[in-house]
Amino acid sequence: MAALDRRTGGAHVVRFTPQGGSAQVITADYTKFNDNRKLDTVDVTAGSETSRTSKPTVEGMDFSLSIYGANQSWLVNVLPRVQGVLEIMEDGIGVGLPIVEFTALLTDFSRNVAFDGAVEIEIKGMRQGAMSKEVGSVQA
Amino acid sequence: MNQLQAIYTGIRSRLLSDGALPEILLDVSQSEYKIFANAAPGDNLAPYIIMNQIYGGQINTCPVDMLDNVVRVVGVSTDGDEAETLAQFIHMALHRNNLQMPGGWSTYIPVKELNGFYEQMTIQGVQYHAHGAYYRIRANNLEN
Repeated sequence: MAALDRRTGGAHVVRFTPQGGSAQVITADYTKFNDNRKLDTVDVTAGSETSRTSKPTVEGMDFSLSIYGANQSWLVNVLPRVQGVLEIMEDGIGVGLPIVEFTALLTDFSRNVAFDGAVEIEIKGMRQGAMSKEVGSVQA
Repeated sequence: MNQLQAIYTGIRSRLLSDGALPEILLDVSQSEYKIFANAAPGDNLAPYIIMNQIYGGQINTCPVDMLDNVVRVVGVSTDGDEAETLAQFIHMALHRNNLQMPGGWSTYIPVKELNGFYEQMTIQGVQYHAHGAYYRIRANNLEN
């Protein structure tokens, strides 16, 4: 039996505010969003040990967004090298709904053009510094 | 208006607006061109064009409503050559052309012809030829 609270991307909203620019929802025509947090570690296993021990170092996060290309006016604001605030609202925009927020550096902008298909665009970036709104935060 | 009716309306409008629309499709008594969805009215005599949904619908891959439908569009005539002429007209009017549809729908990729279709039927001693093709309609709706 399926869990009643199984989550989907149906209400998912991602908003990006480039430095010096205005906030823009960038998921209106999206097909897939992915984010990934990873903690780096160093091996500190003593020479006499037979089981590995690691020490945590820095944690980072990157993300990617796939959208249909539809001449969106804001595409010029999501090119590589742009920095801004990325807000991820997995249940949509609304007071009390969850949000995570961080400063993002955009690194990749790729297009996939098929003769008999829609143009698809993938935007990738990574977090700069710490989360400004960590998992568990809600929208004011 | 539902999605399928919007597609039928778009195809019909496209066929009617094509400068090569064959005059044999004109029903003089009704002053209308015989292009029908689903089924031809019982009192209509061939030749006519008929379109039927084959498969498809909403594809639900993004927040924007998108359709991906395949519709069979064929010319029906008691004359095989006439049916072939209608099939060629349908091809020229639809293949790689966009549709103007009501309800906010619009093709985001031009209509593409897929497989061809031909069928011969004998009904009450009269031989009918249905000649045309399957057409793929991909549309989105920015109004909802």
